[in-house]
Amino acid sequence: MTVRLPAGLDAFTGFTDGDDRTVEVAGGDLRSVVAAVEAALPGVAGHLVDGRGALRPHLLCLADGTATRDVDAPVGDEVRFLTAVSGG
Amino acid sequence: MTTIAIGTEKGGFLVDPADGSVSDPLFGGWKVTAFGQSGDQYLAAVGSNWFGPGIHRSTDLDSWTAIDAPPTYGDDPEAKDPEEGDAREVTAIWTFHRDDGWLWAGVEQAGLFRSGDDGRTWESMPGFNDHRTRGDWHPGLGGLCSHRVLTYGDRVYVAASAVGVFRSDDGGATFDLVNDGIPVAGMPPEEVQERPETGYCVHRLEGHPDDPDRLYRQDHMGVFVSDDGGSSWHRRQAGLPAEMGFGFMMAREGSTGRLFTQPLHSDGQRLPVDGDFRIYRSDDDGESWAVSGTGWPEAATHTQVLRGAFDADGDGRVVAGTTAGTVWLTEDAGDTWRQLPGTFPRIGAVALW
Repeated sequence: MTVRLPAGLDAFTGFTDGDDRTVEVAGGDLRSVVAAVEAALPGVAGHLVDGRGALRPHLLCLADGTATRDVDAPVGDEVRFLTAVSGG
Repeated sequence: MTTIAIGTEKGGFLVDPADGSVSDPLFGGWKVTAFGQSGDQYLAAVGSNWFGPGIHRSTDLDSWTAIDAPPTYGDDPEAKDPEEGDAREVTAIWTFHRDDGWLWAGVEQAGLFRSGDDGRTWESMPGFNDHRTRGDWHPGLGGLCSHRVLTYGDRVYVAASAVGVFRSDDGGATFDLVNDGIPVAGMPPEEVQERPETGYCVHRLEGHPDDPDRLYRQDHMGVFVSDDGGSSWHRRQAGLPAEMGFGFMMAREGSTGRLFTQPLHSDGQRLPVDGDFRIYRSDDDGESWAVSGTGWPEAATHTQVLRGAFDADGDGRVVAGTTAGTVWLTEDAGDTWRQLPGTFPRIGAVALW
């Protein structure tokens, strides 16, 4: 499972230009994927989900290419977080 | 050497006032909402519509590290129905305050947290965060935010908009609202049948280093002073040109005790009176106010200083950042002012380091 993180989080992930900004984790649904991202990159999950675990409102999440906001939906090979135009 | 830290809508910057040099952007694209110091750590609070709030720390102002766990309400147990959106969320960190025991943080949505390890981990302060009046707390234009914390031993003050000033005498375990003498924002006095307990739009609270009972307050409704720890407030705005005494900043320079504010035309306009960008100064503890010194622009300058966008030290320096992205500095307690080189995004936070 590959998670692709947005460049806007570089100050928290430690990625820089030139990196592909991915992290390989295990997880069957978005909630467990976010938890696994936190284990791999401490401090990052709180910028993807709010205190209740819901996807932050101006983030887009593509699970295997399909937009979702359901943290309990099953996911397959790739989860991608993108910054929505509405947030900027 | 003094470094001026500037927090803007799109990143932070460090300016050396001696030569005007400006650092590369810190946290480019992130809103920098507050600065602080604790132990050997410099602190910068950041926020983003996409990613929420965070805190970075540095010991050398060069290398910054994000903490793993900024203040959070977690999965809010007080929420009546999280799906209806009434759960509390920490959306921004508005202020830091360091005392002998703790590093404190005031946050939006209004809350109080403290840290015993220089900002690495945080604990919620339920005496404030679960206050019995919380259901009556409502945001001002700037949001529902705790924007100021002052402490004197077990005496703790928290200023929250648009709620009011809170005082604790037991180290933050319990809080009382202390706003007697402050008009209710937006309500003509003759129409106020019974004073509400909350709804006071404090813009900035300043303290006296040697007197825990002495407070200075730039409120939505004017400039006020208290001699009794906020139990009563008295208007002190003679000489200010602002309608009602409207403004956002209130600073006290340590070596002289001079007070500083920036009057704005009115709550409706929020512009300098007649385009005259001027910071005003009081040399007599708020009894009277006049334009602070010289150096001000002659051209119309329609900008303002927000509540967190200034700082004062105990060595004559007062710095103010504006919504136009300019920075003004005095190094002689307000006798002369100069604009520093550089133009930045809208400035919301400033620190003298």
